[in-house]
This record gives sequence, C-alpha cells and structure tokens, in this order.
Amino acid sequence: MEFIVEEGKHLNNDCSTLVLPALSIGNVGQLAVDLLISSTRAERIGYLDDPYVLPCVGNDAYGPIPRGEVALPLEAYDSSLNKLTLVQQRSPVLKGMMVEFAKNLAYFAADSGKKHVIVLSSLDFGQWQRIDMSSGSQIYYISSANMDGADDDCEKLGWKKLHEYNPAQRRWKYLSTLAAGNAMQEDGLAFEDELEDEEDYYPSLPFAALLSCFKAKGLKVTCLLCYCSEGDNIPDAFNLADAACKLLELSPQNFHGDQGGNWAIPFSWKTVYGPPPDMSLF
Amino acid sequence: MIKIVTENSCDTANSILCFYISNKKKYHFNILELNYVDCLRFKIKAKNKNKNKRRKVKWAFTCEVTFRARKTAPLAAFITSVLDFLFSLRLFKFLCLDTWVLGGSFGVWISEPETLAFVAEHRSRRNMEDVLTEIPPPSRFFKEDLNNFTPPSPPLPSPFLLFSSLDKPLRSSLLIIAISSPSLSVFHHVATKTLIGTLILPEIPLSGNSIEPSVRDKSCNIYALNDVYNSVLLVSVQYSVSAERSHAIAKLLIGEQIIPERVLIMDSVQSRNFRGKLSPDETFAFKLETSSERKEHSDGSSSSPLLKGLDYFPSGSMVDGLAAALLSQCQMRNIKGTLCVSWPEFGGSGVSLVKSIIKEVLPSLEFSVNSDGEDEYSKLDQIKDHPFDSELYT
Repeated sequence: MEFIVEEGKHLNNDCSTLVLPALSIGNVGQLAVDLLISSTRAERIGYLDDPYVLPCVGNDAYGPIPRGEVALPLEAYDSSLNKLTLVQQRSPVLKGMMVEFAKNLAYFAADSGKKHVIVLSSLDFGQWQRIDMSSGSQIYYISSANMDGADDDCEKLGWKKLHEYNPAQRRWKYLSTLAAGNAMQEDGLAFEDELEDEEDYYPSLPFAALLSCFKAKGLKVTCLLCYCSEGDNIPDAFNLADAACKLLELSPQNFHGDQGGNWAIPFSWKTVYGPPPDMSLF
Repeated sequence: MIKIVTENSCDTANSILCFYISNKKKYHFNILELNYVDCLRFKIKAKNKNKNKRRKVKWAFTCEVTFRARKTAPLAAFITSVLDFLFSLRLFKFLCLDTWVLGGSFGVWISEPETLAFVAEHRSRRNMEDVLTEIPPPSRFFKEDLNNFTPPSPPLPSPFLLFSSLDKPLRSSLLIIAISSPSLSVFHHVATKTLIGTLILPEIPLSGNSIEPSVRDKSCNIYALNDVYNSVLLVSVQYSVSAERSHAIAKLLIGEQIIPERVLIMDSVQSRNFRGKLSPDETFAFKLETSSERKEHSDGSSSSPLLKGLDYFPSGSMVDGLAAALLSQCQMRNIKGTLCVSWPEFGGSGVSLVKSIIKEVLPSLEFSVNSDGEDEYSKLDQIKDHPFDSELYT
C-alpha cells in the first residue's frame, strides 16, 4: 500500500487518532465515516493506493454542491481542529485478501505516527444472541486496552464489551498469528470443512482482521460495534458516528451541518439507496 | 439470494420441517446455469438432532439450499426460476402456501410433508414472529466479502506490455484508452493509426484472434495515431477486464512504460452503478476529471478542458472496473486525466455521440467511412463477449 499525499497537502502529525470503517453489514461503518468527514469538514490530504481494494471513482461525495472533485476508493482526510485522521473505504476488498489489506492499513497507521485507532463496524442482527431491551441501539466495543477486550473509558460511556469476544478462541488466535506474520492463510483452510459454531462469526468479520493487525503493530485499538439488519442503515450510521464522537470527546454541536446536532449529511446520500421513483408513472 | 433452511423443530404446527433421509452422509451438490441463478449450493449437514421414535421424524438433518441471483435478474424471474427447479427435483414434493421477501432473501412456506419431502421454514418460532431476527443473506455484500477466512483466488501471472519499438518509456501528449463498445467502434475506423504494441493479459486466450487487428479480436492493442497527432497513443481494450485485474493493468498503462501528459478514458455509464434514470432512447455523456486536469482550465486559465460541454458525473453514482482504476492512477500520479462515460452502451446513437466527442478532441482525425456510413458502426454492436466468438478458430 502506498500513501500518496495530495498536492499541496501534508499529513498532520498532531492528528494522532485514526478513525476508519470496517466492511460490514449495511455498510454502517462506511456511512458513519462519511458522516464524520462531512460534518467535521475534514480535508482530504491523500490517497491510499492498495492493490487489494477494488477500483471505483465518483464525483465529490460530500458537497454541499459537487464540484467534480474525483473521489477514489481509499482516501485519507484530516480534521486538524479535532486532531483526527479519517480513512474512508468505498469499495470491497479482493476475495480472500482481507487480512493482507488489514496489515497494509496497520503499516500505514504505524508509519504515520497514529497512537489510537478507532474501527467502526456493524454486526448482523441475526447473530444477536444476548437479547436485551435496548432494541439494538446499544453500542458494543472491543478494546486493546486489556487482554479481555475491556476498557474503562468505554464502560463509563455506557457501552458493553462484546461478550462473544474470546481471544483464546481458535479463530481469534489464528487471526493474531496471521497478523503477526507467523502463518500463511492457507493453514486456515482446515476450518472450511468443519462445522461452524457461533463463536466463529465474530473473528471472521473484517473488523476482527483490522483489530488483530493494529494490535500486532502495537497500536491502541477500539472497535465500536452496533447490531443492525440490512436496509436503511442511515440511523445506524448516526448511532455509530455519535458513539465515535463520544469516545473522541467531540461535540456534534460544534459541527457545521444543518441537521439535528449540526450533522452535515453528505450530498451523495441523496441517492444512496437508488434513484427516486419514476414519477411519470403517476 | 434465496435461502431455504430446514431444521427439525418440536413445534410442528409452525415449524414444519420434515426432512427424511435414510443415512447420515453429507451431500454437496453444485448445480450451475440455472436461469437467473448464479449459484446453487445444496448442502445437507448431517446433524442428528432428534431421535424421537414416537414421531415420524427419526433422523433430522439440516438442509440448506442457497441460491444466489444474478445481478441483473428481476426478482420475480429469479423466484420463479428457483421454484421451477425445486418442483423439478423428483425427490421433493411441496406446496407453496405463502411467500415473503426478507431483506433480499426469500422464504418458501411448505405444507403437506411426505416421506423424502422437505419443508422450508424459519429456524424457530421466534424467527417466524420477528422478521428482523431471521438471518437473511446480505444483499449488498456476498458472504465471502465479509469473511476473513475466505481463501483467495488462485494467483494469475502478471499482465505485461509488448512493444515493437525498444524506445521506452513511451511518451505521449495524449493517451486515449477506449473501453466502451461505441469508442472501440469509432477508433477501429480511424484511418491513420499504426500498431505499436499490445498488452497481454495471460488469462485471455489469443486463439480466435485474426492476423490483422480486428474489432472482434480479444486483444488490447496500442496504436500511435499518425500525421498531425504524432504523439497521441490509443489503447483499444477489446476484452473484458475483471475488477480484480484492473489495478495491475492501470499501473502498466499509466506512468511506467507509458508516460502521457494527458489521458482520456472512454467508457460507458454502468447501469448497476448509476443512480439516475437510464432510458435506451436517451443519449448523453458525463465526465470526471482529475484535480490537475480541472486546475488546468480553472480560475481564469487560458486552457480549456479536454471535453467541453459535458456535465460532471452526478454525485452518488459510481464507475468501477478498469476505467476507475485508470482515472485513479491519473489522480494519484498527478496526471491530467478525463474519464468520459456515455450512454447508451451499444448501438448507433452511442457510436455517433462518442464520435462527436472524439472529433472535438481531435478535429483532424480521419475515419474510414464506406458507403454504409453509420450503418456499419451499428453492426459493431457488442464488441466484447460477442455471442458468436469462438476460441477454436483463428
């Protein structure tokens, strides 16, 4: 992976926290990062050229009026005011290369001097085992602060450590081994024919690869997770973005948007779920 | 995707799952080429869940049948195709009572179970009542997209460039890359061009290609446009390039062995990625430009954009594949680049539109026109993946 700085821009060493999405059901992590970039008016500072990300381009995703600024699949933004770097990923990863991609991102984060990485991801409601009355708005987390994934800062915010996180579970251990570069992914083919159990779900998700790879580079990592079903996931994005702000001690009231809490909706969200219906039918 | 899951349950009133099988073997079936169905996986997990002799079900197994719709498949056609297939399975008889569509998955309610009959159902009564907790397969990602342990595809040999000249790198004032069928049609009939090289993609067989470059060849030839435009290079991409290979090809074409001052990429609007209306009767084109191309003609500069009179591609819509990889390389390498996407993808009107765009860029470019004129362009409707192409004959 090569980090290419945009002309006239530079990486701000003061931006010691990195926020990025993990591919997940409903694209919630990506939508949340869109919201954060748009609302903090983060400035694009460069691109990440990675052979494992599928190519895509589009017009300026944020607006308020697209000016023809071409958007690439993996971009880095800085919000100097909030001392924050955000990486947005717009397309999937090549089949079977998620761990390699996560390693590349971890190298980037470490090389650019990041101290804390926040990964935003969603989880499938269908895997929700411990049902509570929160109706899904509860934020879960896994942190590298302690071996068991717990973090006092997250607990104080009312979040729950993901109960199903078990670093001793076979697939979590295997991921750690891959992240440290001590095994080849072919070794994992033995998993394929075995009956999967429910514990295999969480370490199989992209956020787990990112968590393992960032940990292997010695970075502090916090994964923020929320359960959702696939559909209109904009409310889930707001929930997750709001959680990220709480962890970062940012107040959405200070943002520049015109939505409730001053969130700024990205311009590209006007058609995020497809074009409007053909009114000529009526 | 359709997922029909059977699993024995205590409550036969609501979870009518009766799958009888005489032994405990695990079966895997892979049946492809169903209409509208991309993949069918029929897996029976031999998990012995219930050994209640008082009930009909002695052995219970989990049967999972997964169908994945092709991307362009209309939902109704896809469902009909699947049902037709299920009825054709002589092992199974069932009646469809009710159906529902759930987040991209489709469940079929079954009644009247018989021996060797299976009935599709939710996994439990709770899932029947709360559709949100049923596990539908995701419709925006394939399962393998969200699985760290998906094995990678077998590696392919790297693509490479072959040139007739040893002068490398090749420098040009303009590099034109034709990807869409209309643009390939137009450039095929450019009168003055010289073949100078080709890009070899090892997985694309060369059998079936003609000795002289032909618009039906599976090739990616590189031409120099002669005369006035001595330093204009043209790349005609006459085979489909997968998204997975696009990055490698883009890096080959731009910035290493070929160093252009400006790049023009001609592709079509991709209906699957476009968030506006697309009518086959309409003809239009949009553009995307790199920052250096925009800077070239902004803020009182005397330069003009490479493509005038075209609106920017609407925000929210996307372009993927080789065109996207090429424009991305231009953006990252600070090269003046323009991507033009036109609509429709095929047909004479698309060809005429692209021809008019090219003539604005290269006004003196000559095209060979025979007596059929535009009709000949219309014949070259679908250059890639032509149904009559044969790999057996050269």
